[in-house]
Amino acid sequence: MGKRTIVPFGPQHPVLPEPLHLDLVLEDETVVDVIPSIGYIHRGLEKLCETKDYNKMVYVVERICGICSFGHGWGASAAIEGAMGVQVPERAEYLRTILHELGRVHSHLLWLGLMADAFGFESLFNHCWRIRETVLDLFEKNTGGRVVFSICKPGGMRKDISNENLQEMVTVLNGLKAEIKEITDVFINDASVKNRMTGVGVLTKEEAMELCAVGPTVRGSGVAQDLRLTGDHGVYHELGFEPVVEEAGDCMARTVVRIREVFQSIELIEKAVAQIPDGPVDCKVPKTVDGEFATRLEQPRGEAFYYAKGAGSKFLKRMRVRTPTNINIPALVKMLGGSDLADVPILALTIDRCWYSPSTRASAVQKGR
Amino acid sequence: MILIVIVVAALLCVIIPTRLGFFKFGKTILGSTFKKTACRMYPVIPREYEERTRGSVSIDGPNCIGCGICANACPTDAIEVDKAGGKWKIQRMQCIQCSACVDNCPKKCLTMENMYTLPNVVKVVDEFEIPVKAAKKADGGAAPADADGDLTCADTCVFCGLCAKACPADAIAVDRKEKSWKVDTDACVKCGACIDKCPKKSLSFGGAAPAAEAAPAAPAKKSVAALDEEKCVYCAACANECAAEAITVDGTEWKLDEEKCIGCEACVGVCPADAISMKEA
Repeated sequence: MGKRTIVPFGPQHPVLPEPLHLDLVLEDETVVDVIPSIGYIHRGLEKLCETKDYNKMVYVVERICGICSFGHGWGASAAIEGAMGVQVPERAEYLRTILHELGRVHSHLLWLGLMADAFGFESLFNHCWRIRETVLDLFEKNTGGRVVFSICKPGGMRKDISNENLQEMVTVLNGLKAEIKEITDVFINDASVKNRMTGVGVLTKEEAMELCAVGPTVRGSGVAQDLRLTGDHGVYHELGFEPVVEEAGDCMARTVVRIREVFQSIELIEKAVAQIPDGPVDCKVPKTVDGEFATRLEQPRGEAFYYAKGAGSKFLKRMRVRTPTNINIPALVKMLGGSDLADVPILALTIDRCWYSPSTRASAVQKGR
Repeated sequence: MILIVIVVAALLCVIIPTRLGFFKFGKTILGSTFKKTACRMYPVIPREYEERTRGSVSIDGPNCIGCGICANACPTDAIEVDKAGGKWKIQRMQCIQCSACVDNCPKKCLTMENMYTLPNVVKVVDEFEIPVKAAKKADGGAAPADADGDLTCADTCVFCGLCAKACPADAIAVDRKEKSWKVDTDACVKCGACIDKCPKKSLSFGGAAPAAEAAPAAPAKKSVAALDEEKCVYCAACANECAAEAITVDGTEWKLDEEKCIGCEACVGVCPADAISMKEA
C-alpha cells in the first residue's frame, strides 16, 4: 500500500459554483476514499416557510435554486394544492409543463457549458451559454424574469401566456435546434472530449439502483426512471414520450442523456403548444390550508420531493423539500472511488453542478432538528 | 498572396484534423470569427426590456390610500406603509421583484417598472409621499356623502357576498339567509375593491341609507341568468364567479339551478364571450 494523502476539495473551487467539501483520500494519484460534507450555506429555509403565509412561501421556495426555479415553484404550489384538495385548470397544467421543459433546456445547456469549462474547453463553454441566452430571453418575455420566474402560485398561474407567444417560443426553439446540434456534436464526437469522459466514473445499473441515484445520473446507467411518466404532475401522459436512457453509465453517457433531453424537451414543448386548450389559468383556493400532501417532481437534476402540512390557517405547519442532488451524493462517492484526482472536478459536476445549494439549504434544517 | 496562403493553411489545419476526429469545433470557431459578436455593447447600447420584465416597484403616490395591503403581501417585508405620517417606504435591497404588491394593490397605484434600481453602496430605503387621511370623524359630525364617508350598501343588494370575497381586509360580512350586510368600519381600508366588484352597484362610500336592517322588498319578477349556447366557450368562468353556486359547467354542458340563482348578474359581467344575459324566471 502506497502512502496515503488527504486532499481537501472545495468548498471554494473553480469548478464548483456553490460550496461542497470533499476530503479525497489519495494513494498516489488515485482516489481511494471520499468523505463528503455539506451545509456551507444553510439558511433555515424550511423553518422560514413556516413563518410565512403560504402564498408568499412559493417565492421563497423558488429561490432554493436559480436554475430549476420554475420546478421548485411548481412543486411547492402542487404540494399546497394537494393539501387543499384543489385541482388546477388544464391550461395552467399545460403552461406549467411548457415552462418546466423550457427550464430543462436552459438547465441542461448551462450544465453542458459548465462541463466544457470543467475539462478546459472554454470556447465550447461560451457557445453553450450563448445559446442558453436565447432561452432566457424567452423566459423573460413570457414570465418577466430570466432566472426566478414568480409565475406559479397555489391554484394555477399568475399570468397567462398568449397562444401567439407560445407559438413564437416553439419557432425560436426550433430555430435553435441546428445550433444546439452543432455544439453538442462536439461533446459526442470530438476525440479530446471523448478522452476526458468515456469510461470515466462508471456507475453500473445495479449500483445506480442500489444507491437510489436519480435523474440523468440513473438514466445514464441504463435505468428508465423518469417521474414525468410516472408522476402525477403536468400533462406528460398526454404528450407521449419515452425516457432517454443510455447504457454505459460513464460521464459520456450522462452527458449524452442530457444532450438528448434538450431535444426531447423542445419536442415536448412543441407538442404541448399544439394541444394547449383555452380557458382560465387559475382557480379559487381556500384561504387556509388544512391537511397534508407529499409530491414528487422530475427536475432537470432528477427527482425532487415536496411535502406540505397545513395548520388550518394561512401558515404551514411544516414544509419539506428534498432536492435531487442530495440523493445523488452516495452515487457520486461511488463514482469517485478509484478515479484519478484530475477527474474529480468532472465527476463532481457530472451528477449535476447545482447539487449543493438545494441539498444543503433544505436538508441542514432537517438534520438540526 | 500571403493572405490567401494563410487562409488556405488555416482551412487545411481545420479540415484535416476534423476528418480525423480531432478539432470538431473548428468549423464553429472559424465561422464565429467572422460573425458579429453575440454580446451587446452594454452600456453603450442599452438593453431593451420585454413588457413583462420585472425590474423595480414604483408608486403613484397621490392615488395611494395607505391601506397597507402591499406591505402585508410582501414576502420579504420590504414595504412599510406609514398611513399617519403619509409615507410609503420600500427597502430596495430587500425587494425581490416578485410583484406580489403590484398584483394585490386594490387601487392599482403600484407598477412594476422594467428597469432595475441602480446599484448603490448603501442599503437605500426609498420614501414616497402619500396623502394623509384625516382622523376618522374628528369633528363628530355626520360624514358627508363623498369618498371620505363609511362604506354603505343600498337596498338594491341581493346579498350575493362577492363584496365580502373581494375585500382584501376581510371587513365585510354578508349572510344571505339572514339577509344581512355588515361592514367593520375599523377594518375597512376604503380601497373600493368591493365597489368595483358589486354586480348590482349597490355599494358606495358615504352613500345614503344603509340597507342592512330591513330586507328589501322582493322584486316583483325574479330574473335569472340565461345562456346563448352559440357564443359560450364553456370556460367555466361564470361557475367560478357565481356566489350562489348555481352554475355548473361540465365539458360542453352549462347548467343553471334557477332555485339557487339570486340574479346578481355577476356571471354576465365576467363572461369573456358575452354569452350570458338575464331573463325573467
